[in-house]
Amino acid sequence: MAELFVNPMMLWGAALASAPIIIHLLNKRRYRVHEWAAMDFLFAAMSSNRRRLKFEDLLLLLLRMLLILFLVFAVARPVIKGLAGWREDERVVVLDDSFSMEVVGPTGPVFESAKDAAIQQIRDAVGGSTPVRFWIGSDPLDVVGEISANVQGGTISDVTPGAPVDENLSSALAGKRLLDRIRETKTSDLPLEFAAIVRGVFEQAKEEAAPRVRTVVLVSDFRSSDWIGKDGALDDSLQVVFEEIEKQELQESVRFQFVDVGLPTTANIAVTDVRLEESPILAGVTARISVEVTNFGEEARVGINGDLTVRRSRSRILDGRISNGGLTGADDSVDGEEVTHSIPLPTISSIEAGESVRVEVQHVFELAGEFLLTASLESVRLGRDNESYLVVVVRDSLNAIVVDGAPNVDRFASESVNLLAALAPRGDVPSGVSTRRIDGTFAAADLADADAVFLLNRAELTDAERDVLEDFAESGGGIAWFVGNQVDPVRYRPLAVVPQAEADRVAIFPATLRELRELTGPTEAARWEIGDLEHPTFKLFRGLQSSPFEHLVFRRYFVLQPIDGARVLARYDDVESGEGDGTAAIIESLVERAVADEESTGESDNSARGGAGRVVLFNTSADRDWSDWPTDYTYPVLLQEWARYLAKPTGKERLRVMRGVLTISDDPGMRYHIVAPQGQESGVGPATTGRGVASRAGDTNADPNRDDSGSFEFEVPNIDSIDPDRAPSGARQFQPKRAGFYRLIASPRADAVVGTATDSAAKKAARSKDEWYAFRRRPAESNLDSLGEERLREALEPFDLQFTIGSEVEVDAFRREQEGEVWRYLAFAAGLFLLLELFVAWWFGRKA
Amino acid sequence: MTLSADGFFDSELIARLSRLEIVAKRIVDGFLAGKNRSSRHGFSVEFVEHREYVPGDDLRHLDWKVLGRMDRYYIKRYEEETNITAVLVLDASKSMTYRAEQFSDPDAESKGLNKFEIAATSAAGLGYLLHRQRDAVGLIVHDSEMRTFVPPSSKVLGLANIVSKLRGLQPEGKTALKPVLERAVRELPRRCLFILLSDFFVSADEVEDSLKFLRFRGHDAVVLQTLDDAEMKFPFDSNILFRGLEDGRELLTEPQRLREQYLEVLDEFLRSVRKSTERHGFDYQLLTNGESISAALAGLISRRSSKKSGAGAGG
Repeated sequence: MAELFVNPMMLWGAALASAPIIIHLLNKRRYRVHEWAAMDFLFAAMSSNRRRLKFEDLLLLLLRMLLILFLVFAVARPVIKGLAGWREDERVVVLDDSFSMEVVGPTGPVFESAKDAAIQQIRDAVGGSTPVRFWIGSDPLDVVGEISANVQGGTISDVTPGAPVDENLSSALAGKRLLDRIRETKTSDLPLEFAAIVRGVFEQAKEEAAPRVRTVVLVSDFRSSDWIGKDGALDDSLQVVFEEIEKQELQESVRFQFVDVGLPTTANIAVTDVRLEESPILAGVTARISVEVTNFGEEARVGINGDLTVRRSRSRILDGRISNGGLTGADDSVDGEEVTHSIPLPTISSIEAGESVRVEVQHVFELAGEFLLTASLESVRLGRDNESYLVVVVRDSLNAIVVDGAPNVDRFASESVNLLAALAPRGDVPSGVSTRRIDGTFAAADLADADAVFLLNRAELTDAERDVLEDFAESGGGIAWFVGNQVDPVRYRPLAVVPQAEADRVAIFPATLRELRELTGPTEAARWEIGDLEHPTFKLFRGLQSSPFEHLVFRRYFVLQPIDGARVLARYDDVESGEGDGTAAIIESLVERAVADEESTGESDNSARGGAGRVVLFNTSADRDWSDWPTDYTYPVLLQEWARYLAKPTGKERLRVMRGVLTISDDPGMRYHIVAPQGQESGVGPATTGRGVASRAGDTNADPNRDDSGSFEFEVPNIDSIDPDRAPSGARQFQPKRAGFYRLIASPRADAVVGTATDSAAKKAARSKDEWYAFRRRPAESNLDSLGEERLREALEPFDLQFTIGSEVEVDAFRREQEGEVWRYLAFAAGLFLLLELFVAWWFGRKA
Repeated sequence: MTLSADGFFDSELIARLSRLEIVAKRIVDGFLAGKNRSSRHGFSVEFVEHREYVPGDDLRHLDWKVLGRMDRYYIKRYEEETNITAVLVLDASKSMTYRAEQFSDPDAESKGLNKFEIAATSAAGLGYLLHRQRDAVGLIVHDSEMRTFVPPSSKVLGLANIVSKLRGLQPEGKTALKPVLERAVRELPRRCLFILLSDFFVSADEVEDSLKFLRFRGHDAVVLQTLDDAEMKFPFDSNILFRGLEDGRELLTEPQRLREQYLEVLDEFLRSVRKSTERHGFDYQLLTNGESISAALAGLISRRSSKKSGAGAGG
């Protein structure tokens, strides 16, 4: 009964409902006797009105009884648990710890208010004997804490030392631990995963035999970017979850209480991107680095300054090779183990509201190695999003593999002689390309370190070679084809046309060859007509008065048909006619790579092609058999550009967008050590250490070790299988909670993975991996645009959901609302009955 | 209005009627001779007595000899002037004792009188007037049957006898009208004027039958229905157990919720009685203790006088 009514004692008042009957009966007994003569008239009047009078009596009695009953029930404040109204079997409290919660309002940090609200919700639930589960909004996989319903006294408080620990006390202790942990929680840079948490809640609900009623309380700042998709409708993931709730008819068992602790102001500026405009970056070659700044506010911002800090990492790769940190310029400084160089960003005169502006700086990395780039602005509102990170891997040179289809012991008779000389000419000025020639067949190992492979006059490819090339191209490697007299069009056709039945294959040749065209006449010759000088490989030839290729003469080429999606960069013109037959001379295509969804892996590619390998076909031979181009000065220039263009982009493997993971290959016996950003080491706890996830079945340890230094360390055999869907088989993943630079050290020796600055040479040598990774928060996290109660209601309106929204910290809003409603309804009904009774009594007695 | 030492001679009533001598004369004439003038033409020549002249008397009946001898005005009375035989039929059933004192008008003429007392007072007053005119006046007191019968007489002892009968009456029993009138008609050989004083708490049919009976027997009648003011207004509230005076039946009710229906039934009954009376050419007057009895009787006499004048003018 106590669960049904807030004031159950008041129900005794229901006995008052009999009062009208008692009064009526007593009234019947209270009369005076009057001797009366005209009894006949009285009986006559009575006989015609007896039924009416009885009806009136009954109606008045009923109204009076109902009036009293409704008043009594209103005062008792029914909860109606288990009936039509309030019931709560569990409360799920979700605290949004996303980056935007860091904003500080006039009354203090928003996140502190959110924590207070979450704690209040938990206390209130425990006070009502409702079990609680608590989630951190960025972590849908793990429940942070649970409190069972049987907390002694319904309050969570410190436990008296020495008190006997029974079940109630145990629950109280669990509650205390949970509240302490909530108080210590810090914001993360991970996005809010509310949809995933809700999905977990109702997946659990579906499995329950007896339906349980849950209230899901989300304490958040309700930013638009978390809720609204690009199309202006509710975010897809939330939409799917809410539709699923409707489909499963769980509306009665899952309801939502949204506690909005956000601020109305939205002004914020953030660095939303740092990227290389060209990749890969070679030592000594000017690199273009762009920084994107976005104004998320509603007013234009002017005069924005910032800088780009380049730090040289003293990782194992570089140590021993360089002496000055690989940096140039007067601003270089040495601070402990790091050498930094600061480059001022061009001042941004103004950014309109909602717009982004990209500024560019150029920098020369003199030496190869890993460089940590931090673009930062003058502090604006949210401090941490004024920075963005990028790890740049600078290489000494590119590796180009030249596969000679017509090798010859006479070096100068080989097909590849001109090409090798063109790519890596001898001299003082390095081309930045290292070459290696392969005669005959090649294997995967041959291409392991290659950026691009040049195939010259191969008659055909073996199946194994084709597989290797496909994998190479799919991993981003570039392929350049030169034809020749050994090329058989029929054998090349499968490389260009992939049957639908072979869905796992990709096209690695950009055209289907038909017949060979030979221009044998003394005056017959074809020339190149460059179609697109804007192409990066032709950029050096822009601005010339005449085409640098017009004097070249081509006497043989294949008539061909480019495959779908291929891009023709140059064509053969017929010299005599002046019109040409238009056969493609240079064709480019991309090998699409079947990668997992970027959003799910968080891996990002800052190049334009998004991870696909490039393929180019030069419809001529690499030697002088078919043209005089290999002896022209444009030959080495153009092919060196193509070598760079085809090369695998670098840097993407070192960049993750938050919620992305660092996947580490599974090497049994290997020890790993991940060093968190130095600036965050003081913030010990879940927010800085991240979590390890691996897929090895049968392992028992749920969590890798965490230590108070902010580092994250685990040993391969001791990784539990937590999320097989997210981690490829035989790999483990690391997901930090905060953006920054993370250093991964791997070694079979335990003593080699610990320590950084004072590493001995032996330690460093024992490391099989020592790499830096940049974790970057999603740009949307800096957008503080609040959804607001009205827009949130509009977004949720299409769904049949139970929800309440409040800007205040609504404690137990549903319960109060429902109780309040019932109480008000009952009181209102009692008032109506009172008015009705008065009216009826007046109506019945109006003729008296 | 107060009772006289006789109990029923209301001095105020008598005085009021007597003071208005002209009116009284006309009243009496009208009252007593209205319907009977055509049955016997002219006055009898048999002298009976003298009486003092009062203004309004026909000068043709002035005794000139006495005037010349004694210089006083006397009117000669003849037998023909007193040929009206009136019978006061007084209902002495238990219902006539009803009086709701708490609801009576303290300023009313009949303050404190129950219906029987009103009827008896009215009967005594009318008897006295009739006797002054030397008319024969008789009395029948009844409830469900005739309890007292005083044969009509114009002698002084006759009036005294009536008064003495009235004085000792104690209302009892139920009301019945027709058997009483049937017996009275048998007892009275002459055509009479029946003055019925009752609350007529019998059925409307019995009232109709009774009046019809009198009319067929050639009698004249005046219906004086006496009701208590509380019976007319039913001014009760709160719970009341009504107990019948005549039969002891009981009814517990909230009077205010029954008032409208009661008044409708009562009004229907009164209209029925009045219509029956008028249908048979009789006169009707309602007497209540909320209104002046003398005014009501004066009104009745006035109406009969008008009727007489109308009948004389007509022929």
